[in-house]
Amino acid sequence: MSKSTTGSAARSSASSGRVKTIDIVNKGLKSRYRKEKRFRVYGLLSIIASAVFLAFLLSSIVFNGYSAFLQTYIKLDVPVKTGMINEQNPRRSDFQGIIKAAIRDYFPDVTERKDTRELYSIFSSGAAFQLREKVLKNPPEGDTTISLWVPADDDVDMLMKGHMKRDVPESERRLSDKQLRWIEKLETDKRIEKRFNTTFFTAGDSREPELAGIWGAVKGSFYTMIVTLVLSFPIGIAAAVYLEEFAPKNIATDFIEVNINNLAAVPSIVFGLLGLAVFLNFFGMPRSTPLVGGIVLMLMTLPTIIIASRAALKAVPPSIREAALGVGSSKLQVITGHVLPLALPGMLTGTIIGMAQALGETAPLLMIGMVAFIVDIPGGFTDPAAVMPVQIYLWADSPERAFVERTSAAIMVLLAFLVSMNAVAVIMRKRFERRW
Amino acid sequence: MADTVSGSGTKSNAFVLTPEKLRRQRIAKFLGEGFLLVVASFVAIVVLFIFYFVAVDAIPFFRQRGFAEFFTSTNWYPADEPGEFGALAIIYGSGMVTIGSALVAVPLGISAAICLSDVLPFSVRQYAKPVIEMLAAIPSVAFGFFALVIFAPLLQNYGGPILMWAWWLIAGPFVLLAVIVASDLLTSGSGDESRRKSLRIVITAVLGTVAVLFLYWVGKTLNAIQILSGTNALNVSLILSFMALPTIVSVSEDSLQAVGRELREGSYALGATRAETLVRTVLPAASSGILAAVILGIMRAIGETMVVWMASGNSSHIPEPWFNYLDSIRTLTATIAGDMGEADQVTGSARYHVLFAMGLLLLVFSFISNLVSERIVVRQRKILAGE
Repeated sequence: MSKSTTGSAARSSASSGRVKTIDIVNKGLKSRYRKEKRFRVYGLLSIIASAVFLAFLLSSIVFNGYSAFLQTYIKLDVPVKTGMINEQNPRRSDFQGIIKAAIRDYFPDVTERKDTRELYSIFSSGAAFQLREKVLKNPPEGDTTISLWVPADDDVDMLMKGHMKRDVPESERRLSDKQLRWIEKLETDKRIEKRFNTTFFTAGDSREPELAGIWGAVKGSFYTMIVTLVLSFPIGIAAAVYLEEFAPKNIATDFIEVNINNLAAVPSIVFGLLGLAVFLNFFGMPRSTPLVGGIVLMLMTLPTIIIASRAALKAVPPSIREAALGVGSSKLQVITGHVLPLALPGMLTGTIIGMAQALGETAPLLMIGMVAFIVDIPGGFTDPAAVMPVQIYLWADSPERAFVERTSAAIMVLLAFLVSMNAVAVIMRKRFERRW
Repeated sequence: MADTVSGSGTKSNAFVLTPEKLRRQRIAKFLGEGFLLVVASFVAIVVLFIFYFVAVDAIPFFRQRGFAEFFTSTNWYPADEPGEFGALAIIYGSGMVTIGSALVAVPLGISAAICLSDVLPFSVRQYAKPVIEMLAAIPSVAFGFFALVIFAPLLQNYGGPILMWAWWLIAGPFVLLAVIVASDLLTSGSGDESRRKSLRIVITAVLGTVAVLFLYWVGKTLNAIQILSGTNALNVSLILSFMALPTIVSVSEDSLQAVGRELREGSYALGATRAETLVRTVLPAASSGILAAVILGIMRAIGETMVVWMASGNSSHIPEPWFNYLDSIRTLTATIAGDMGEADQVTGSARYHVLFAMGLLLLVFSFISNLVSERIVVRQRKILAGE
């Protein structure tokens, strides 16, 4: 475009006699500046598009998930009489029966068998566990009434949070008209309210949304990350030190370098295949444990750590090494005494970023059986465990609306971890970055 | 060595390198270096190890079933007795998603990289860069959840209008630009200044009307489209493009930065504007690095599992017609992730080994493209340094 205008400008001024370069330039200048502006706008648009997408993604997750931090609880007065608790072994008393009796006491006009079943389903099955804990902690003496805030069923929870509408026909909602009436009675008695959802942060997985929590997955992630860190940090740093400080320039070194990049390019699911074929089927390691997960993730994080550590080592100026060598240190002393301490912040930054990647990884862990439904909270490296991203994946597959909100909440928690890890890495880099 | 600070009597001794000390030092050096070499080669060995173990489990499949069925048939019924293992549709699905995401991510990523490296002032850049980096920090399962729970219903319910608006937003500026350029070109031939101006206005008006009608017509067609299922190739491609974006941006930006100040300033000195400098000088010099960035970004899209597994619909057939992005598809990674749970029980069967064959395919592809991109980067560095 600019070419053609300047060309015609040259021709037109040629007809008038003398040609001045400045005229040619001035003729085209306006359109060139316009182009420059357009160019800028395109660049900005692309960044704005990414920002809009990011904002949409995060806000929709927050919008979907914030309500999971609250949970509907119902206040239940549970009369406990002397015969109800098993004297010899209080663990084996019929807590479910006690809770049901308490519910029937509160709604005396519900007598039909079908109705009582509907009535019970307003309350979570976790109520009996709650009572059991309370009774075991301080056994009641004589006839008392224990007042409990028990979790409501997830359908009631959804209703209270407004995700389920009351005014649609009965067949289109998961709660019947009768159940709605009972809930209204509880509301007028001020016995139903939303409280902070501690279960979500302290429980393991569950089929019941109101009883499901992320603590098991958090602990599983924690153990897995420990394995990954313990293995990948020393190996990564040793490899980086060798490649930067010792490696001769030959084919073997080139081979190692190429393969580090190759390792970084391997699709994550293939690491899962490796874990399955080698660690599970060949070595017979226990399935779905943090140990195997950690080893697989170690292989994935190694390239990140090595590349970052090499950059950190490269940033240490040769003068430091030469000075240390000059006063008579051996090469090992130079490295352990001077180069490594100076490069350590950079190496740690790379390690944190690598760990953050590992923490968010899902696909390879599916392959080694970490996708199993695990209720118990893992207590060690060889206990079956879920990790946070896998937990999110499992919940995302569940159809209940209550799980959608818990999935979003779990993503928020995971993101909080990841973002703070990355922030720490950025701050460390800023803080310890030295210009020589 | 370590005992330099001993008594004053032996001080002079401490610095003397006796043969005994020398030998010890040499052994320590040898051991230390050897240990580090072993650790460093561990990484190289791991790669061979991966290759070996995936291949060992993939070969039985090809031995049992041959190559022809896997690469040419679209019948994927692994659970049947006897099973059919035609992976063509699955390979096609992987390719489709990859191309779709590249179409969005490459222009977006390159212009964002140019913007970050050369156009934006530092104060804006400070805030723009974390946005891109944040995209890289979001775990893939979160993207998958977003695609499945939020984006898919959106596409299903408002698919037509969304497509129409996207068409207006993306194609609108381009078509208008094309109109301006075309009318410029057409009128540049005629001589007289005043006649040219009026001619130009006429041509612009005519072309503009045609363009607007065209835009409107396509937009209307798109608006009428009913998307049957939100979990389709379009959904996945869009999400994947945003996942590949950080890779493309950061590698291209590095390569733009690698083009030195001399070239830029030389171009400014000749009177070029910033846009002209970038398009005619910096971009050609950085082109190979940008190509490497594109390859790496594409690799990210091919290797991604969770998003495609959760939101691509997972039906293994080639869409009708072949470019129909609104159909659901299935990819290699998703198949591996999805089928292994069941295939694992029958270790040793073709059903188990076929998944390793897919893994091998992915692995070979990633190695090749990684090597190519690396070659390109090395060459660019050499050219820029050696000029």
